[in-house]
Amino acid sequence: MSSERGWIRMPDWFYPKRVRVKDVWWLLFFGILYFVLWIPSPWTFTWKKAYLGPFGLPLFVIFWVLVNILCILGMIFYYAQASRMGLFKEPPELEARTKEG
Amino acid sequence: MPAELQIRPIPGVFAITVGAYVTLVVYLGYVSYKKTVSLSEFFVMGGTAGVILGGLGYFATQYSMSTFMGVPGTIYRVGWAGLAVSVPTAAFSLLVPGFLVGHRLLYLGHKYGFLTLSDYFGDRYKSDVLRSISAVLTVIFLVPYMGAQTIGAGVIVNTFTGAPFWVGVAIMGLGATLYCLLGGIRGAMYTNVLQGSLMVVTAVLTFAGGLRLTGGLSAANAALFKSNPGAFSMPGNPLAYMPWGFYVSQLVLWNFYTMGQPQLATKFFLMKNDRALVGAMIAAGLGMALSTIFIYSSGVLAMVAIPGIPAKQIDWVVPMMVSKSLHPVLASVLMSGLLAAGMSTIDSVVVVVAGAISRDLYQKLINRNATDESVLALSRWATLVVGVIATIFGIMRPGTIFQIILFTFGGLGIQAILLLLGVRWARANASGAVAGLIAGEIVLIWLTLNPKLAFGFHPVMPASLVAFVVMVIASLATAPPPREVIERHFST
Repeated sequence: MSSERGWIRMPDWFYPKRVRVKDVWWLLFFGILYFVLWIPSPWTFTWKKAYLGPFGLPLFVIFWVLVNILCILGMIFYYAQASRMGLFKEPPELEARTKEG
Repeated sequence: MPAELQIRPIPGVFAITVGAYVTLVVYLGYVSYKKTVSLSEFFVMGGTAGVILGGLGYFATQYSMSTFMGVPGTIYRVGWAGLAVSVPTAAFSLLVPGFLVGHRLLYLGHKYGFLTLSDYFGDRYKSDVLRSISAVLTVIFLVPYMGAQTIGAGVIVNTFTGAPFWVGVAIMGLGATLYCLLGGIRGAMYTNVLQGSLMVVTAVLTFAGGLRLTGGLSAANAALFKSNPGAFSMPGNPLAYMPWGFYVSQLVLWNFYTMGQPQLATKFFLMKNDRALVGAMIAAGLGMALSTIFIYSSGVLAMVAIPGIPAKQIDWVVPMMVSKSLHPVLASVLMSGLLAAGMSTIDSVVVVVAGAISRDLYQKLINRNATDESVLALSRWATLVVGVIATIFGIMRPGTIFQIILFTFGGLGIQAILLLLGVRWARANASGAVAGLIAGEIVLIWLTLNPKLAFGFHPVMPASLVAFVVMVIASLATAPPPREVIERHFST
């Protein structure tokens, strides 16, 4: 695996062959949000012990809601960044097809 | 209607509201009919869906009757721990499949004109055997799934009007069939926007009604903690089942394994471009997070507001809450929201099953010379027949809503492995895919019959792991895919 500026080269067996570094950061952000839920803790998965927070809600409910909010905000920022960087530019096949549609 | 259900029948208001709703969705089907002149239009809208159609369509298709009836009922027994079903990863529902396979399916679908998931499998693995197996699995698993959606409608109509159970089943099953028969997937997507919006409103207002009945969230929690402290921790109620494996299964089931569900995977063929895809991820994530958080929390509030509902009637928790807390007219509108949840799932599914029959089995295997026009006509007939069979299945009422949905999700979920490896690993070949799929389905059935051997996980998780390992080994042990397949699927 070797890298070029702004890109990371992936193994030959994988598609795509290279990935944007910025996308890897986004992958890490969403990956951490997703997999932190797997780790048992008072914020995710308790066992027969109640940990209460505001409004008498269990901490895990508050954390789950927070994860959803962060995920949606992350997607909005990703959309804005991709739009700003012109990443939504379509390949020729799609352009032709979209015009027909 | 059993007297202990604590629901005020409002037959007149309910009939008018639901009648207006059904008329509106059938009208949208008619509007779509005028635009549905080709096979591509009937199955994938010609690949023209934008952010709203794509996002709300995906959300409304994935979230079904079970989201609004079965799961809140289960949560009524479990407490806050029950929100583990869907809530923690609700916003990830389209993000995960969109990131893993969505962009590629969108691109390849536009480029090669794929109309069904089996279409993709047949082309990527260059295998009619795999295409046939996938199409047959689609029919076998999705017809009961559609039937399960109609069961809820039967219950609602019976509860609010006193009409026989089969009336509600027929309204939902045949209503959705009618607008899909006319407008194909476009009819389904147009109505999904209305239905998805109605589902979010229903969830939020049901929760608001619950707060009104219980005196607010803090008061409800204080009262519940006093009577049932187990509702505030895992596994919840002492009778509930929530080991870590089950919890983790729920985190994965409704986003990763949805990739294998044809009615959801084909949504990527519908979307116009990458901008629409990412925008749809946001719209779907918002709809799903709002719906699950509010409607599932209503199940907990009902533990305080309507204590003592018998176990056999827990699926009725949301209709009871709505009936008890809101004005009859508003309650009727919200009940239409529950019907919308079921209808919006049935419509996409009926089109996908029709596609498996007319496109994958007929046009691609039985009669390769069939013209698109004749296949379009056949698709409409198939939609009608499948819709009628699903309605009959619903009237027969073979099991509870959530059980049927869990079974079908698992059965089709194995295909997620074939899709993921097909998109990301050029070395994956037909032998590996067929071996992996068959091994996965066998293990799934075996673990469903012997759940203890799954160590608390949903059977689809160990079954898909087996499918993955078998597929990798069988692919490496046999010849690589033909060069033309690599060029078609991996050159750009």
